[in-house]
Amino acid sequence: MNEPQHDEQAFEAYLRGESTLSHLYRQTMASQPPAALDAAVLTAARQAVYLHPQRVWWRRWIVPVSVAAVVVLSLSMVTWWWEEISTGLTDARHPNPAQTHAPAAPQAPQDLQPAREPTPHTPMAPVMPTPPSETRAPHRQDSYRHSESDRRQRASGFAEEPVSTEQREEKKVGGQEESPLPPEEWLQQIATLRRQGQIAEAEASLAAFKRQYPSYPLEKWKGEER
Amino acid sequence: LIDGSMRLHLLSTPIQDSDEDLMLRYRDGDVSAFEALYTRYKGVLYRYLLRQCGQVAIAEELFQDVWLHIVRTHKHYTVRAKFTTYLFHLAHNRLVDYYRQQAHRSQGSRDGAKSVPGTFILATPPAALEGHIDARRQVTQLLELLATLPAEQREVFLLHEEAGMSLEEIAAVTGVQRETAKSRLRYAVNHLRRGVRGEA
Repeated sequence: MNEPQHDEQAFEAYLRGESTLSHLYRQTMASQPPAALDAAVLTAARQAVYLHPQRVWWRRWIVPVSVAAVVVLSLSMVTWWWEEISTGLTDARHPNPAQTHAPAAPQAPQDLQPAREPTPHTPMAPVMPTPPSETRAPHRQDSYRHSESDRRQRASGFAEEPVSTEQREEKKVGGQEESPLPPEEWLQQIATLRRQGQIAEAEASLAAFKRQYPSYPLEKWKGEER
Repeated sequence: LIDGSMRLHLLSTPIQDSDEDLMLRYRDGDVSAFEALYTRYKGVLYRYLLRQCGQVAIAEELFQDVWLHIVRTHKHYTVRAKFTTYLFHLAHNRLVDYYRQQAHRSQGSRDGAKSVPGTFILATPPAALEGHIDARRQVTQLLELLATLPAEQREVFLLHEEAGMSLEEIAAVTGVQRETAKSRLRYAVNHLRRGVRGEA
């Protein structure tokens, strides 16, 4: 048998694991890395895990769940707000007589009531259907004013007289509706006017105050002013 | 049918986790999985590097580099191939880098003698090792013959013997065709066989 053929057969035997060469080599397989090297690698492996621990599974969901919660809340609020606006619009177009005619206010003393002239009926008085974009803003503003007024009433401890629709119309026709000052502030302003000698203005302001807050206990304030 | 003693034997034999499972467990924070994997391959990798570079200090440095690379990147581990292929591919690349550094360093000090990077010529030529007497001497002779092989041939021999890789796996690790790997292994085996027999 020539040498190349012999080599080929020996190589095939080696690939099948039947060679003495493999057996001989396995006797050399005693070398191991030193213990210090083992310790260094294993320490690094532990540190890599403990210094940078894996995130707990639920922490992975924190951000997506938070975003989803914010989106759901925002949508709910927008939907609720939109429904409120739509309801307000419907009320404005089809006013409920029970709501528009507020219960009769307790009658104030005659001398405190301003002399009210009957106002001419203007063409703007009938409520006309208007585009939503134009009517939304006043409604929002109005509801804000109502809540402000409620808050002030709670703070001052007395109830503001309900203003009828006619009175509101009168104010709107006569000029732009002003948000009234809180009673204490208003009275302080009247007192200041009096101290400055502007008696006429003070009286006019007081009359307006009485119209606005007919049931406010003025006696107490007058006592304090003296 | 399995009799009682056989069943007991099967139950008492621990089911060995695959390398890939261990690596995935380590990725998920199980350090004991890495310890098992390290114990399984530390000797194999160490000898592969030691036989390849021929110096204990260098082998230890390369060994540490390879394992530390696995540690550093363990969180991104995914099973794309056998773990041994991954491990020895890293080791192969690290060795190639080392050979390049060596070649660069010895460029200036070389005085005309042409040497292949990674080939470590023994002070004693293989011919002087003829006439081996006992098994111990044969083992020593084999290691010395191994050191005289070109790096590429030595590598395929070590991957086959140490890691138990097939020709396909060796080709994947070293980045060559299967036939190239086979050819290199054939040269290595024939050279070693003749050397041990005293034919070289």
